[in-house]
Amino acid sequence: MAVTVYIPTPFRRATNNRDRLEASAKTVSGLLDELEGTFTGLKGLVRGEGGAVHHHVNIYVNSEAIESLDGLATPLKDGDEVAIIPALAGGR
Amino acid sequence: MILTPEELAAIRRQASEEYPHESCGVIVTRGAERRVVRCRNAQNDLHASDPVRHPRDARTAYSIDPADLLRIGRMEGDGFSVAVIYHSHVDAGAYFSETDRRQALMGDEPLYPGAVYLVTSVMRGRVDSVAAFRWDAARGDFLPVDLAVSEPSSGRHAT
Repeated sequence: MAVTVYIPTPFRRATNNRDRLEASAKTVSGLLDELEGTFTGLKGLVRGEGGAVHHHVNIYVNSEAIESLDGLATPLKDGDEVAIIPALAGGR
Repeated sequence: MILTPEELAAIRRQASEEYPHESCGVIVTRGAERRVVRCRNAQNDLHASDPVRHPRDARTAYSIDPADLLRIGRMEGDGFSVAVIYHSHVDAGAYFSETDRRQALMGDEPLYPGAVYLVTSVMRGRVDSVAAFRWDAARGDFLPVDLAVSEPSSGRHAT
């Protein structure tokens, strides 16, 4: 068993159009490292060069935003579900 | 067809109800199945928590609530696709603003290249017009498209 990652439409161009991935990382930060290592096109889409997640990207672990958990240090365990979803926003 | 008359009516009603704040939501489709996902505009929360980073409030901007984003994401996981992304402009026209454009892009590519963006103009609480825009890959920009609502009206702008 592993961590399941949901990839929404905007990021699938970087994951060979796959909408679900599996990973074995133990933290969200490690998960992003793992995903970026496998799908290099993800680099820069989810987080900047400094490692911080872009402000327009939301990451959830089991439906909880990581900001309300431990951020990038949020631990992961087998069976967890992670979703990486960009914001939908605008204005006049 | 971009949206049904019933969907257009629901979007217009929501835009009036939420005046003077911008309304927002999406329409997802799975085959012939269609669902309007009315969303909460979380822009006031962002503005209250960090007015420097988020200088606009919900009167001039929208940001779909993260809980709704997750809900939409789960629907995508169940086979739905985001077909329409809609929001309103309060006391302003139904145009695709530079802010709308910037937020709809990730780099030079659209977040949802197949989706239609719908903008509803609400003037003094009443819907004035609705316009639709879609990414044109050849032009590298969002261009107006006909709403193509079978009734009560058709054309680029429905009033």
